[in-house]
Parts: sequence; structure tokens; C-alpha cells
Amino acid sequence: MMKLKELASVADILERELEPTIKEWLRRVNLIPELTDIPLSDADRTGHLPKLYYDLISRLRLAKDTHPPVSAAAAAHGHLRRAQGYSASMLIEESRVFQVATFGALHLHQSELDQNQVLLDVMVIADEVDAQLMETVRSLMGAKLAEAAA
Amino acid sequence: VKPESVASILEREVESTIQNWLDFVDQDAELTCIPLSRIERTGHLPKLLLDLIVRLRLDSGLPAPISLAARDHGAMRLQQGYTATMVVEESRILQVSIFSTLQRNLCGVDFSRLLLDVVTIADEVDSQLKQAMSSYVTPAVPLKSPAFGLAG
Repeated sequence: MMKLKELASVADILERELEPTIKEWLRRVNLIPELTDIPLSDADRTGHLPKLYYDLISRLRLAKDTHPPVSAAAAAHGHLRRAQGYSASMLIEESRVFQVATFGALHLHQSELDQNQVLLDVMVIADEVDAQLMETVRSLMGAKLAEAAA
Repeated sequence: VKPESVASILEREVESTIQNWLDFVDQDAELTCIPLSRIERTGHLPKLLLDLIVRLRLDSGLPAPISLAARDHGAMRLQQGYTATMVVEESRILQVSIFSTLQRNLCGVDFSRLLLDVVTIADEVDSQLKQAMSSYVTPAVPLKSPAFGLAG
């Protein structure tokens, strides 16, 4: 008798594939001159990603209508990127690559996913990533205004 | 039943996706503090969704084309008093509304292509967001001493 393949949750796959997904994010970022014009080490470039994935995986495991407050790390990331010379547009570019790498990782493992659940989780990912992007942009623009006022 | 492409579903559901987006926006106190008519609020969406549908029908892997409409939308939102954060919030709601439309039509979706199309949707919506933000952006000047603490 054919054995049914066990399904994995989106959160489990993202947790298991964390390292290759971050590598793929970095590979894609390194192809974008607008971002690489700011010289950063790989550790400086990717240092915010483990926490962002941790927040995302935690959110995916919460009840569906729960909206936890956006991580303070998102605002700290905005401050740091501002100090490193990033613009808001560059933050959006990084966030775009994050979504592309994350959904790309899920595509690679789609045979393990529950087809009825996957789009609900895609919605949570888009919501969480853009909520963190908002906080990062808010923080960067605030730092910019403070610099202008100083 | 022959599976339906994501592009065809979105084309058929443009009106309901826009209505869904508007319903979310109407519950968002930060966005509704800027009073706009329905047409002012949603006027950019038909073109944005059309660009997305066209992109989904192209070979996947192609980069997002430049959209003058997205740039004009950002300039208009700046004039209307939106902050950069509010433009990001509108875009967040758009992605959620699009995926919500696909979820409602899940029984007809070609699952083998679904996540590739999700990648394209996220790429296109964020590319248009970036172009919309160009009115808000001036290049930053790096500070001499990098900030403390959290790396990257």
C-alpha cells in the first residue's frame, strides 16, 4: 500500500530551512547594486534576519486572528540601517527580497504543504513582513527628521 | 475541473479585491484620518492589479518593469498628506486582499504554480511600493560611526 506523505506546517518548513533561506536572501541582495553600494559584511547585512524569521514563525504558530505588537527589533533595524546610509526605498527592496526568498523556499517544499492552509499562512507572512517594514520605515524616517532638525 | 490560473482569478475578481481592500482601509484609523473619496482612495488599484495580472502572464523570473503609474501614485499620496508609513500600510493591505481573493477561490487554483505566482505577486507589489516611495526618498548620508548594538 502506498504510504501517505506527512504534511509539514509552513512554520516548520521555515524553521527547518532558515539557513538556506537566509543564504538565498543574501545571494539575491548581492545582485542588487543599489544595496551593495553600501559596503557591509555578510553578518551586518543579514544580522536582523534570524529575529525577523523567529517573529514570523512565532506569529504563524499563534491563533489566526492574533496580532501581536510589532517587534521592537524592527525599529532598531531601521535606526541601524539609517546610520549605515540606507534610504526607505532600500529597506523596501530588502523586504521585497525577503518575501521572494521566503515564498521561494515554500515553493521548493510545496509537496510537504497542506494545500488548504498554505494561502492562509501566506497572508500571515505578507501581513507580518509588511508590518515590520512599516515599523522599520517609521524608525528610519524619524531618525532622518531628527538629523534634519539637529 | 480544469485548474484556473492565478492571473485569471485575479482578473475575474478585480472588483471584489478592491472592495475587500477598501473595507480593510476603512477600519484603519491611521489611513482614514486623511479624508478621501472612494475614487481618490482606490483610483490607483485597477492599474496596479492590471500590471500584476500582465506580469503573472509573462515568463516567471523576469524582473518587475518600471511603472510610471506607481511613481505618480506615490507623488499623489504625498500631496494628499500621506506619510511614507501610510503608503507601506496601503501596500500591506493590498497584498493581504489579493491573497484573500485567492484563498476564496482555492478550489479552482492550479496548486503546482500557486507558490511561484505568490512569489511574483509579492515581488510586483513591493516593486510598485518602492516606486511609489520615490517621492518620499532622498538619499541618506552614512554617519561616521555605525550605530551600536544589533547587527545588520
